[in-house]
Amino acid sequence: MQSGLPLVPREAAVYREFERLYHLARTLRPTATDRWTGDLVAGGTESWGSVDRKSGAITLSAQHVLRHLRGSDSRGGADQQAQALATILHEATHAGMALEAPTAANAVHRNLMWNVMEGVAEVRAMADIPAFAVLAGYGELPVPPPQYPAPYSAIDGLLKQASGPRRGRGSLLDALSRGPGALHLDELADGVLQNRLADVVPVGDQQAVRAALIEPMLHPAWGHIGKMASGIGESVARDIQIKLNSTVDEIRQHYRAQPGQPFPAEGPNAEAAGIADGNRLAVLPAPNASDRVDRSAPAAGGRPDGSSPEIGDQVDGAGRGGRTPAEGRGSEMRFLDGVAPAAGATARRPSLGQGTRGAAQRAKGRRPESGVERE
Amino acid sequence: MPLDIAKFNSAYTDARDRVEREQADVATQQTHLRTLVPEDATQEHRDWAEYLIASLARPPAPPRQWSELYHEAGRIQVAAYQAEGTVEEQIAALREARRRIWEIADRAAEDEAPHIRAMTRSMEHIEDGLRNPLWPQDD
Repeated sequence: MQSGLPLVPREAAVYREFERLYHLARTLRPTATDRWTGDLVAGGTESWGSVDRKSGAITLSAQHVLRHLRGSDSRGGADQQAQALATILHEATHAGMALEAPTAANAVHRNLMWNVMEGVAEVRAMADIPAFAVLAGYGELPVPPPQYPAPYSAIDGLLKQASGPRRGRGSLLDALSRGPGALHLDELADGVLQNRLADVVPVGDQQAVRAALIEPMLHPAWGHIGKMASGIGESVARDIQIKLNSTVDEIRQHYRAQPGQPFPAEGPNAEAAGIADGNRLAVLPAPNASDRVDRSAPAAGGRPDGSSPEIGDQVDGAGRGGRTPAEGRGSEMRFLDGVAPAAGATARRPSLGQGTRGAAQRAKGRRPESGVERE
Repeated sequence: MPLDIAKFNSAYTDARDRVEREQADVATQQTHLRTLVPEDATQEHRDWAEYLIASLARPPAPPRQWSELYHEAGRIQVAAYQAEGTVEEQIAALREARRRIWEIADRAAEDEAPHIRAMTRSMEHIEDGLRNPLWPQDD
């Protein structure tokens, strides 16, 4: 949890409204993983939202997100609500998936995947916001401009290349939203395979062929694309398309010439073989092992090596622009503590049967650990 | 039988993509989506599904016209993204840019200010990525 920022009481109307929205987001794209522990932190005035990789807490800006969670709002504020709901969809997508896939041969455990994951979460948020807003009773909201401009454009471009008659964009977005994040490129590769190569690739060769299709997707720009404008993302997608088309042709020619011969390719996760030999703990790097989400322990604890959070993990309101957390707890945040329902928030609640799933299992009132590693 | 919301949403995503990207026939896509809505679905869910089905026939919204303040904030964001130097220097550049963008948003029109402020949503995560890389051994 960010130092000095308050937990939203679970009995508060805004907590219950966020919880309802969070589960509606998961209803639109179901996933078996849920890394949110149930702790909701009211973030400072100059932040939006994040998922703490260590504690499993979700932080949302009190001013820019939480206070706008009041259902269809006749007082205006549609633009604020659209941004608030987009933030929730984005963060719910992060919280709904594991990051690593240690035993998967085609997992990519490299930092460039950070930008891939941000792009996926934002594409998902933009795709679902009209359906989400109406389903949640917020009415028709303007679709906000996507953030993460270059990763968004690059993932959108890759989805266009990977979509087709056998696997459409809906199926691919469903799978991407399930994660793990390290398998995002493998999922996109599967779209290419199913839509363009399914007639020539034997089932037994599909993992290797997907590995070959991942290779052209590992564009060097992914490492720093998060810090670029949308035009760069489009260029990256075009670059990948050229190489991807060439790889597709190569694979097709291979199976025409040697139908019984597997396509030679190795998955990007060389460590998977070591894990298969029972050497998983010896092979995997210790830091960030909490990202490897176990279904039975969705809120993994601190670092397995026992190290302290790094300098900079502590992010507080003062550090974000000179305003102290206490300043954010004035009259504008009283709604966080009260039980008076936010206007309209309870007016239209679809009975989806999942609104509190998992919530009862979460420890009440437990504060997340200090130190944050956020997505 | 209740509406399978996830299945419908996925099919709607496909239909929207086909209409926008492949200029697929809207009526055909709408007919397919209606087959996914059970007769005895709740009225609330039927309304939701019909809203999405009808939206396929709507022309895309025209590009929004932004004020100079919005574009100014965008330029600040791009400049911060391009900052070179150490991790700490990059973080400092992002923080300063965020501070300036918040200031610009405070001067913007009510309907535009949230979208200017939202430019900092990605910058916040980029800062976090610089501080806490997912796989430190990869750097």
